[in-house]
Amino acid sequence: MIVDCYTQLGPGINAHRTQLLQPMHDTSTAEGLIAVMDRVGIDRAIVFPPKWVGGDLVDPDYTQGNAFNHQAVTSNPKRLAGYVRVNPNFGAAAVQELQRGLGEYGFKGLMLDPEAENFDPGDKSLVYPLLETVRAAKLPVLFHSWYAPSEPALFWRVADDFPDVPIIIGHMGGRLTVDAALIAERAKNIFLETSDHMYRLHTFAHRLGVERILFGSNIPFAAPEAELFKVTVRNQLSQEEKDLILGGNAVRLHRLS
Amino acid sequence: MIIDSHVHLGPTLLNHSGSVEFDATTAKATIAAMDEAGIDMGVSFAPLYEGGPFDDPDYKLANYAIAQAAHEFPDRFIPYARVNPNRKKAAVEEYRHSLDDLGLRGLMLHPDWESFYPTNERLMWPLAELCVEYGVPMTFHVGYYPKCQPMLFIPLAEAFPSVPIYLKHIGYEYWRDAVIMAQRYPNIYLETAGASTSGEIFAAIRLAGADKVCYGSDLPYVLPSVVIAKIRSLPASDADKELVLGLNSARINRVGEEQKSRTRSRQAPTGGSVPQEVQA
Repeated sequence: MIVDCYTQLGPGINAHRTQLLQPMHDTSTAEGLIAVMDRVGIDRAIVFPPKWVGGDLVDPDYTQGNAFNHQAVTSNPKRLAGYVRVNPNFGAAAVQELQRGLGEYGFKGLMLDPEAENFDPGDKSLVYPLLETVRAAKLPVLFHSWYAPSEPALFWRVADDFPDVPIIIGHMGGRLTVDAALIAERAKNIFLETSDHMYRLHTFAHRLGVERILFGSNIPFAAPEAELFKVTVRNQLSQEEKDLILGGNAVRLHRLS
Repeated sequence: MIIDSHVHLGPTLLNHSGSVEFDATTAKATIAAMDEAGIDMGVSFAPLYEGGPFDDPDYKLANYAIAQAAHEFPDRFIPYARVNPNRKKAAVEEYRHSLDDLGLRGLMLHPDWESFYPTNERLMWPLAELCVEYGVPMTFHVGYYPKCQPMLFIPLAEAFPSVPIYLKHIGYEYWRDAVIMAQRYPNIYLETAGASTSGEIFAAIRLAGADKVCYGSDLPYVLPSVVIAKIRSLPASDADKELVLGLNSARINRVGEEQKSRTRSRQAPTGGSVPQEVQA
């Protein structure tokens, strides 16, 4: 089973169509996303709302995006699973939204983007209450990781302070994959997600243990055919190892059924 | 036709402390990797110099190896020279020697690795003037502050409008800036090597035009088949993808045309040697 740990779903995608970095697929609806998944052979996708960039939908706290995705997951329980996305700058309201997402919506984790929402991942008043909440639910947190303030170094202290929370560094840290690997070697609760990763996946998988690598595509902002190929092309990885990266690890981590 | 506009090869790869995806120390090994990915030709130049068994800070040995590979396989390589501009007169001499005696057909420079500013006329202009004289392109690593950001190439692009200039990696974190350069300057091209994401390549094609984007991989540090897969999978027309994958670089490098310059690429390279243990 192929599980995609990084896909962006919901009406918030529409406002991205006038941005410099435009979506390649229409994932404003579950049907649009599932059509792409069917085309490239992805069985199940973990979805969260895309970065809010204005437009007709006014949703800076992601409450509408999360509610939309709840409906999408409920209608397609075999194909989709949800992550709650919140903006930590909303403080207590963000914690409330997270509790609703993990409780009422039955979502499988928390998604945060320090670059989009411009917050420090180690902020004790804004971020740590959210991490206490996912810890209580025994679920993971996924951070977008690319440019400041989302570079891998900033997740080191967070991982040390929440050693029992699986912390997924998105995009393997972007172009700072080596940074991500150095930190992941020292903080064993860090996982790396592969979308838009740079190179030498097998090296990092074998350095950290293949069970700590999770496949993701970044649909609709990357070509999922290429992201899948980046895993399957690796003759340095056995089929068992590829199966773990492509889905086995995600099933176990999120207790997917 | 697929032309990879970013191919590192040569024995000095043996110096590297970092990892590569496969062996590209020899022309034969590099061609095997190119064949596997369906690449017809590679724009080849020296890997960055790192201290080790080969003492080659001026890229003399590396340029010779590039020339030797192109002499042996003239239909597979478009060989470029690499120099350290901080060597001033010696760098210009090495580049002229590369064009005259080694038959190389372009210049690759790395402002970050060799530590110079592309705006430094004293170092850059004599090298660019040779590119004008021989009618050959320049290609630059582009990306990180303080020496590689796309805007630093404004004076060069304006002073040498006849020289095609590739901005490698679509400028990495400054990909938006690199797109602006390609939009404004007819002689500026964007190259997709390394960690350029499929989203960035898609944006570059949409915003700068398919005739301004060239496929490059950065092999052997990156699997070329992965970069090709990114381009092939984009929601762009097949005609645009053909431009990006090879037709643009064929045009820029005048593939198939008789070289108008004084280069003598069909002759055996002279004035250099590769140590015996590497030739074996």
